[in-house]
This record gives sequence, C-alpha cells and structure tokens, in this order.
Amino acid sequence: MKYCAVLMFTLIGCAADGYDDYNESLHDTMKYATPEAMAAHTLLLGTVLAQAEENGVQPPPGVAAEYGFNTALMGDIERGVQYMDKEMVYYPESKLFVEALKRIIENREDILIEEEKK
Amino acid sequence: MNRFLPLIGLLLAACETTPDYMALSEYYANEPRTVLVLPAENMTTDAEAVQLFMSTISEPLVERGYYVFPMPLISAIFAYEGITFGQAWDVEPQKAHQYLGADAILYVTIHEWDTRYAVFASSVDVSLDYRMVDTRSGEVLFEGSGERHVRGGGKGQGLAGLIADAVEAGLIASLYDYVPLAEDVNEEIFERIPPGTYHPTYGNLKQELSDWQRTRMPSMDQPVLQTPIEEEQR
Repeated sequence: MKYCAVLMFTLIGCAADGYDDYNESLHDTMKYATPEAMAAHTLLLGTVLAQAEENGVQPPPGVAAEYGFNTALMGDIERGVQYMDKEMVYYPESKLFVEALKRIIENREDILIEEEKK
Repeated sequence: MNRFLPLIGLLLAACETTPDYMALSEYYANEPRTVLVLPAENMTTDAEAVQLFMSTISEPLVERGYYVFPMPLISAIFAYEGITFGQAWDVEPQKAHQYLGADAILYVTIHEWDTRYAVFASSVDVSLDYRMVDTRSGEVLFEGSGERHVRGGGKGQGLAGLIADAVEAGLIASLYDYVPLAEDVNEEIFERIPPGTYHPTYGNLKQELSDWQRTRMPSMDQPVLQTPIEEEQR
C-alpha cells in the first residue's frame, strides 16, 4: 500500500512538469477574465493533460476538471463532460465537486436551448 | 480553545525529530484528503493582493499531497450559488463537506502586501496568517503565520553612500515582487502540515503511526477498567 502512494506521487510528479506555468496562467485568467486569457489557460491545461496521457501518468489534481469545465463553457459540452468525468476517475474524492460543476453546465445548456427557442 | 491547538506545537517540533504520534493520530483521525482554499481575507490596501496571492497557493498544497479544488472552479460554483467572495468565509464548513466533498477548509488572511519606496530606502513586505479547519468537526487542524521582508538602501554615508542607497533602494523595489515572497511563505507553512495522501512519505508515516497505535492497545489479559457505578453494581 505504501509503495502505491509513493508510485502515485511519482506519477503525479512526472505529469506536473507542464504544470510549472500554471500559477502565472491562473493569475492572468483571474486578473483579466477575458475569453483570450481563459482560452490560453485552457490550452495550457490541455497541454498538461496531453503530456500526462502520453506518459500514462496521473495529471495533477483539478486539471482535468478545470480543462473539462472550460471546454464545456467554450461550447464543446460533450468533450468537456468527458474530461470532468476523467477527473473523478483520477481522483474519486472529487465526485461531489465534479457533480456540482456538471450541474452548472447542464443549467447553462438549458438556458442556451431556451434562448434558441425564443 | 480547542483540543487540537496544543498539539499543533508538538506537531511542528515533530517535523524535525521523532514524529509526535499522538498529534498525528488526532490530525489523521478524519483523513483530510481534499482542501477547499477560500479567497483570502485582505487586510491591506492593495486591491490586487488577493488575486495575486490566490494564484500562488494551490501548487504547494498539491505538492504536499492534498487534493486542492481549483480556484476558478470554486469561484464559478460560488457565483452559481449566489455566494460572493466576501460571503465565502460565512459558508459553514459542514456545508462545504456535504456539497463539495471538502474535508478541510483553508482560510488565509493577508496582513501585509506592501512596497515602500522612498528614494534612499525601500522595502517589500508580505505577511500571512493560515488556518485549516476540519469541515466535519469544525476543529482547527492547523494554524500558522509567516512573513518575508526585503529591505534596500538606508545605510550609506556621504554623497556616494546616498547614491548607492538610491540605486539599491530602486533595485529592491523593482526586482522584488510579492509573488515569490508569498510562494516562499506558503512553502514554509505547508512543510509544517502533515503530508497528505498523495505525498511520498504518507504511506511510511501511516505505517509508523499504525505500529505505534498497536503498541498502545491494552493487552487482552488486562482487566477492563470500570466506572465507579459499574463497580458498585458489581
């Protein structure tokens, strides 16, 4: 069991290489709150995930959820939900949190459908 | 104040010597795995302090082995629920557990986030307070504070000294940013928190703790202690 924890962290550590720019990118997203800043941040998250997937390792906590949520907000709901679900696979303790995020996306989708009907 | 606080000091000392297993038992009793970091309370006049600080806090906690909810997503959930950043500290810890699965909440107060520049002397100051609370029991799991101060100039004598001071003060004010100072404080503080589930030392520590707990279990041959009432009934 203890070796599993060590291995798990080693794997997260390997994936965290692309995570170096996360703080700065997050700051820009929070400060400017523009679609461009969000797109750039989502691109970075996608790179971190792609590196993790390529290396067969676990991405850092929250990255798949954040990438999925942003992707869904930018219009690709199916892909977004797919990545939010991946967060729960990587980190089962994120279940309630991811469900709360999915409720926001579902609600937003309902609003968009209503607006289209009008 | 509460039963954990006296143990915190012991826990800190444990980082450098033999672990304080009693304190660790208390800390790990509810296995805090997930941490919700709330927007920091800003006691300074710098309106950007919270944004800048919040971008520094997730990574070191993740490295300490905890699952940390991403700040932008927490903001989105709060906005959806009609909770403003100012109201975030009023959310009951138990609700954060029920709704998000957060095992602990981290509250941070920014006391100093200042640059003072006065031609011949300058300083950059960051001062932060941290409090981590168990969402199920409401108990304080950890409290700590840290600060960093960088000073420049103010030492020179004569004209040459003053010129050197002005150059140094200007350099200090322009080169030192709050963010690396805050990152430094975060790192120092989180080293004092026992490692989370994803930290490489977690497994060994839990094993040691479990071994220690086993040595403390009463022997089966020992008579079980009874209350005075039970003694009387007997």
